[in-house]
Amino acid sequence: MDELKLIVRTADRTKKAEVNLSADQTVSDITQAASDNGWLSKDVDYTVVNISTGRTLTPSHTLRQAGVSNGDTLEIQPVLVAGSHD
Amino acid sequence: MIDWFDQEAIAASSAVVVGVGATGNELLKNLCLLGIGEIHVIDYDLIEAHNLTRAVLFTEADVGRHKAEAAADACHRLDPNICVTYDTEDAWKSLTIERLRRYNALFCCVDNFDARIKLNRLCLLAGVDFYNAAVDSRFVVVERYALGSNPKGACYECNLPASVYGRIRERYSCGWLRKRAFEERKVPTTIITASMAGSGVCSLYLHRDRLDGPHGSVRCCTDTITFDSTVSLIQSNSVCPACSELQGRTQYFKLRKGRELPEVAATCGADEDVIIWLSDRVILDVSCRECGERRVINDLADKYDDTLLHCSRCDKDSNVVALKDFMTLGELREVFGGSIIPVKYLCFSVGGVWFISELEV
Repeated sequence: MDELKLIVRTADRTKKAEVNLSADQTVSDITQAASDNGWLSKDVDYTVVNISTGRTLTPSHTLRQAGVSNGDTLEIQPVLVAGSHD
Repeated sequence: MIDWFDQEAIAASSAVVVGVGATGNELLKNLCLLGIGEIHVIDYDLIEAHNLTRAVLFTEADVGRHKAEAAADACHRLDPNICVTYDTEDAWKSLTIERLRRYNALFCCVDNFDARIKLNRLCLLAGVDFYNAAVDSRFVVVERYALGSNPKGACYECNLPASVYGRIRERYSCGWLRKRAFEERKVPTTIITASMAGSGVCSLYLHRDRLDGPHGSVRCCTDTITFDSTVSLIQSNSVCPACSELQGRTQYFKLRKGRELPEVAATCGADEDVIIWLSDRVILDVSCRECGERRVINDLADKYDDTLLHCSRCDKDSNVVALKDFMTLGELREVFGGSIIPVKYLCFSVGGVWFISELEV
């Protein structure tokens, strides 16, 4: 079981942490953990972008499948829904 | 004068804009001032006084008018040379795959995930690039999905988190009937974020050829307070609910009301067991698990809400709804016989070819 040392941050960059994660954990595990730690709003949905490679990550993929490498920086970004009616 | 700006190419291009709220207003203003050749505007909503604080194209005199109509008039005023048309119906009802194919792009500026997912699927079937713009009070996200120029690229649903589908399900009862009492959550937005979204998504469109890498689908997330911005390539997903099955050759044909589907499908090589995927959920019948009373419906589920679960004879919610979004060709023939199939389009696959059949409304 590979362990990855990653930097995870929120899109507003007010939250940032160095974390050790198994390569078998999924991308959505990261948003879930961030949510559980009170980093994220419960009313918003989130996606994860690998800042080091410039690629969005598929939520259901494991970090290994998503090609995440040791030392990468992952940013949790909002999936926004508004645009028209207000 | 500007080395990257090709006025002729913009004048020759055309787009559909769905949703003319704050972001749609800004986008339309930009497209018109840039000199796009043709725009089709779609929005079923009416202008209310509170919209005016975030809508550059509307005035007080427009309150009560359809947003699409008022926006089209404003576009004409900005540039009378632009061909502008509009529709005041829901895009899912009014925009056909056949019509969408005439445009280079669809800009999605709507306010809910359900509509974004449906418009993405229309663009997938039409092979038209899908541009998505969304905001809240701080962040702007603009995305380009190269569904026309790169059919193997990612679509809007490829990376949607499961929580989005959970939110969509909140709008429906357990039997996938619309909840009467459901209230959409309100997302606060500002003219700053809407304006930046309108500019950002327009810029993605202008520079679309530059972004055509192996994937071609791009996301740009901007924090309008700190100006931190990240651009990322969106990965295609081999198990995407929208596009993974549609890879390969597609063939489009149009049907009148769908009555002739069995015969047409047979000529495509389909047998009675081929799965026909319906664009919309259809209610076949309702039966009460207490008294056994059964009523045949054979109509769109969207026309009904969760009152259908109530059995008037038993005076309780004891009805069970039989609802389908796919059936075999044999079942379809049995259920609808010679009557109208009440969906927007249907798809089936034979020998690795996807047949997409749009039904005339």
